[in-house]
Amino acid sequence: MEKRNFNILVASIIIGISIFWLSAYSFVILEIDPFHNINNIFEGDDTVVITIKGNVVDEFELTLSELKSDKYTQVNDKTFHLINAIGREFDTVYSGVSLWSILEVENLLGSDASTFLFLGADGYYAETPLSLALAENNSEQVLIAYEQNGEPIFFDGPVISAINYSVIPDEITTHFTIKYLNTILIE
Amino acid sequence: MPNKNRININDTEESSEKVDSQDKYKITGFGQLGSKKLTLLDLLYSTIIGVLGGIISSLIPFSLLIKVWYPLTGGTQLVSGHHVIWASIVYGLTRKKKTILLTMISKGLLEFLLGDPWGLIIFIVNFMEGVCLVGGFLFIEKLGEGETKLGWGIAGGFGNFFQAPFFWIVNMRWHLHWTLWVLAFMFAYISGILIVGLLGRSVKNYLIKAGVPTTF
Repeated sequence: MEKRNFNILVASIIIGISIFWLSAYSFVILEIDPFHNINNIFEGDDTVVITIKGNVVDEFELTLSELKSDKYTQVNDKTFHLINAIGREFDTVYSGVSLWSILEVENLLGSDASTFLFLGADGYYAETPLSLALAENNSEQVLIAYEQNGEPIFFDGPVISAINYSVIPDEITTHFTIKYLNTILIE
Repeated sequence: MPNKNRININDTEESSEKVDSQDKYKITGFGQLGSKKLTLLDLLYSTIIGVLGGIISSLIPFSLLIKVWYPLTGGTQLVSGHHVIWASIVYGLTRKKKTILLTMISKGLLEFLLGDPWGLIIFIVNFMEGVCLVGGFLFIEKLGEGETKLGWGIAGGFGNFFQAPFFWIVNMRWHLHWTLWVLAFMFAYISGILIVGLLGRSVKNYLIKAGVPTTF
């Protein structure tokens, strides 16, 4: 084998091994389920899409059909004002369920719970935990959204988190819009 | 016997016509290896393929490919090379580095006009990707790998690498785990090697074999 080809082979193997172990490390450290997206695509509305855990009475799981049930406060076609990292402002219409209504109806919160953090199935998570008081005082502006602009969320879903700009005016709103949302961590 | 020194009137007329036509028209396109001047065909390739790339980049959700089989954030970088492949194809047909920039400028302009969420920044990103691809091709030419698969792969990797750190930094994703950063950047480079470099080179070769005129 030519030395040049041998070097290419060695470089490819090193890169391949690095990617394998970095991916494996990410799956473990970020608690990622590699089959989350596949399950959501093929198993429909009865798959668990959200887990609420952390400082809660009991870890709680919700399917998409449960999220859409009348048991919780549903918010339909509400316009959210958002701002992204480069300062661009835009509006998006969301339909979803109020986070606070789930916490309240299921009486999930632990005794000294004070914050919540959105985490995505792809390892992405919100910039910082937010105070639960924000979710309580703006219950229809902190949503687990399942429809965007009148369409079910497919590419980025099945659910994403949505917070209106007025709730967190000092933050970059899109950093709290988590695609593939699957965990809400209460602390 | 005909006199060899006799002037052929027909030949003289033909040559004077050639001189006239050269005065009136520029030579376009073919057989210009080594010339740095852009031909009409160069400009047409750059704009047509740039516009095609702009439409495809804006309207086709390539992230769907990744969603199913790669669950980590940043996984879409694995297919990000499709944004830059157009420039490498045009370079293959023209062998002029200016056409890389022209293709990416056309593409960026179209993405901007189609309402890209990044606004004018997408135009600058496209231009910078073009600059990096030019840098990549200059680098591999210095290494003597200008026409090899390895050379095109490395150049394509350079071309596709700029956008990944740029968007992650502009998006201020500091809070994300470091492995996600490293993987996203590695995927961007690998996608550049595979899609921009190797796939671009093979598409270019098939186009040439199919009879698409080159301008070198």
